Amino acid sequence: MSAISFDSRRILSFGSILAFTVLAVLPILFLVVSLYLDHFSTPTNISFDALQSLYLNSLFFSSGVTFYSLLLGGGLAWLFSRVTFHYQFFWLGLFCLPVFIPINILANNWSSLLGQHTGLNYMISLWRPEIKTLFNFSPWISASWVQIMSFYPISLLIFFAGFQRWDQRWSEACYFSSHYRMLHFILSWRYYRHYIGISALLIFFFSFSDFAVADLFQLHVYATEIFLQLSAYNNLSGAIILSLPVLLTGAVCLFFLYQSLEQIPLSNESGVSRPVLSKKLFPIQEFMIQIFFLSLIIVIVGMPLTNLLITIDNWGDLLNMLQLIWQDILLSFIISFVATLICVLLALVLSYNIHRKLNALGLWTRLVLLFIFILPSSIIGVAYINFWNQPYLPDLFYQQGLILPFALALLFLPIAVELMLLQLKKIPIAEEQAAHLSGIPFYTALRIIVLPRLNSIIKIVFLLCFIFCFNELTISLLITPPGFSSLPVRLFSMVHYGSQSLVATLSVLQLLILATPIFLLYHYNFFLFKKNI
Amino acid sequence: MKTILLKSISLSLIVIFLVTSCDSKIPQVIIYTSVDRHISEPVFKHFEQTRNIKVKAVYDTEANKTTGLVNRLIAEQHQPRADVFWNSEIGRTLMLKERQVLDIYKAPDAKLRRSNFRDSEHKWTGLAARARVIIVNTKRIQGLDFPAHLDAFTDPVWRGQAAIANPHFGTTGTHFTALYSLWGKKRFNLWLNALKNNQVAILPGNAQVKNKVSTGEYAFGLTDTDDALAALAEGAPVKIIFPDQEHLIKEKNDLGTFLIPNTIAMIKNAPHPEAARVFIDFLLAPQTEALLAAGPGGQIPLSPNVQGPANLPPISELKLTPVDYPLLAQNLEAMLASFRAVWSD
Repeated sequence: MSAISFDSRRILSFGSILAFTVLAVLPILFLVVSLYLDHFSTPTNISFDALQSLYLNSLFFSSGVTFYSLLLGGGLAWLFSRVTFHYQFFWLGLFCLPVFIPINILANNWSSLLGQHTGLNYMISLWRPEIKTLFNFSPWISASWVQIMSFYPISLLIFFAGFQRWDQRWSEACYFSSHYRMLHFILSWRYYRHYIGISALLIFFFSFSDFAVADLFQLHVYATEIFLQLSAYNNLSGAIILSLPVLLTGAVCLFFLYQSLEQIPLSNESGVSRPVLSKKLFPIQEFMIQIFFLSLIIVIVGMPLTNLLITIDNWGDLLNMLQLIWQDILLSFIISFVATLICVLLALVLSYNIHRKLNALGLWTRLVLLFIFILPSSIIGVAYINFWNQPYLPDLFYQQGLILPFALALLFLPIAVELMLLQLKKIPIAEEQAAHLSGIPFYTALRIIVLPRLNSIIKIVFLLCFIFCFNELTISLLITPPGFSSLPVRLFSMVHYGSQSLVATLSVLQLLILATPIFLLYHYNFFLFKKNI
Repeated sequence: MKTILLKSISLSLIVIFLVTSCDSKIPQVIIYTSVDRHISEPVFKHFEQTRNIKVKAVYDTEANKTTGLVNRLIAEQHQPRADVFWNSEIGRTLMLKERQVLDIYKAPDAKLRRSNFRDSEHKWTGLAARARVIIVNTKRIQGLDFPAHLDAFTDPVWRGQAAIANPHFGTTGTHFTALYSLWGKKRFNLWLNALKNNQVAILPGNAQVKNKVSTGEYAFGLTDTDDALAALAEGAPVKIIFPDQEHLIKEKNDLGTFLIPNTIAMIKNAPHPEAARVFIDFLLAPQTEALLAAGPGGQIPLSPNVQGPANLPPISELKLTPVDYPLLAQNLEAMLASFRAVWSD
């Protein structure tokens, strides 16, 4: 290894850890210490037994949501990557649409669609007045349905990235065995378990920490209790204490995932392959697939979207609204874009650092990231205020909002790092070592060997982080400088006082604003690394 | 392609830098407000035009139960950035007072108000109130007497037909705490039990109560006047009832309608104290209360001789729930403990 490459690796390692410490570790440490010195109080008004019961309920609920989201997302991803048919990109885009809509809006929409006197039930009562209520689901079922509808695109995208890297020769090797199916299953499991693990971890904790859906259906879940400590009692330390069992659960999950990732994975050395399955192995006609997609899309995307569209009374409002809030839109766009770039770049170097074991802090970094992922975003916001709102720092940092993109990036950094790690594991280290031995500088080797292989996952991470940053509300509210307002803050204010039509108009506007450039970007493959090796 | 991307990144960073570092020399006031934007924004614009002071506002949202700014104010306490907190209700203002976030300011117009709408230590002043009212779906309740007092929620005639908002938050929390303070724990718990037995629905917020009564999912509910007025403006078949008014229920009643004022307070060690005082004086002026009364929220003025909203009765004609605000701040946690004990049984 040349001296240059050795230095570059150290700089990369040190730089990423330093950035991570300043952005994540110090603010949270500062908050915990200041709370400890001030008055560290236990959770208010809740007994241990009640907490235990809430925790178990939430665990059960989120496990169910995770299972069905994986099933739906994974199944769709499998179809998209294993079967060639027309308009694939279009269908994939349609199936991803729910992730563009903030979960509160989606939940409101489904709630009105399946309400006792609204939506489908209302339409049926007009047609057959003797049927009072056809759809009458329990709040738990409704909440699960809304969460599955909101989270399945995450697993769809992650699995899709995974399926893209499956080497068809592995399948072909199995054909020679008399136990084709068993062998294929074993190979598939070894390859996909990481994707399943990461998707499950992300969706489970998204579901577990979601307060909005539970609130809409008035379910008392563990996240409600954390929210109550923060908002009803303003007991920050109580909320942090309540987050600890969740952290413990996360740490256990991460440990098993870590163990699994440590085992030798299937490495894809020769890039992407898109298998064309023979009619013998996959005898479904393209026509049938299109019909299947169409019926599925009508139920899970078409219905809520149509409900949103028919709620709009006056389509002229769309333009009026655009004129009124174009500054909010522009600001949200710029901040989300910058936050996403920071998040992707930092995730790239951190995950490389962790995976190639450039220093000994890899596991600790992942644990801190997990803690960040599990902590309610209000606590991260307050930690940022405590740390950055200091008299000796220039106003530029806090008062004028420079830290906002960093806070947003930090919020979604755990997702980005875990996804990057997933793909890095599939890249053999031998080529990098050969490059180093040949005297190729470290960054050049990184650029020509590693980055192109991360192409698909970088796209997925960019897409998810941009959407999450754009729709994020809590951090934006806590750190946005006075005089500025982001689109989600405007939207969620309007949910309270605006008419149903105005809220629907703004939701459609947000959907269009978010989806159009992303679809264009991906359609024209406008990305740094077009080709895989 | 790479160049385009790098250029766009640099451009974004420059725009962000320029946007965030521009600081004009015009005097400014920083206001944190939980009042709905469509109500507060016209007031800010009017203030900017008449006083030549720029308003930089931070708004709250219902999605986090309008508690985000309270958390922000507490977190910023060691280095305050806000000058004024204009709260749409009173409960959180009392909590901020207890946490030493608020400063003393004796506004000239504050003394015009009744003593219970201003703080005895001059740390907050009430203005432009909303009333807690019963919103009734006139299609669901035809040919029957409309529910006219809070006991209607516990009346078995209306089992499963009424809704209230979650008392952990917002004006419902403040209202319930006032009832707790007035009745004491025992009577309050009995009332809560009766609510539960009568299958009263708990919904996420007052807006949902308004929506579900408007669509007829519930026959009536407890909400605020601004939500009820919004339902009327949307053309929903609803009627607003001011609860526990003796002329309606035709019997002696000690309860009356609960009034929740907006509150305005100056932040301790505010960066622009002079501008903050000018804004508080402006907001408490009768002209501003008249503007708020005429606006979409239909806020009920607390200054004497100010014309109230056309479709609501004047405050002088209402029997109001007696409230001891210092007691209210103390009892919030106890009320929530009671609610939790009864409701989670």
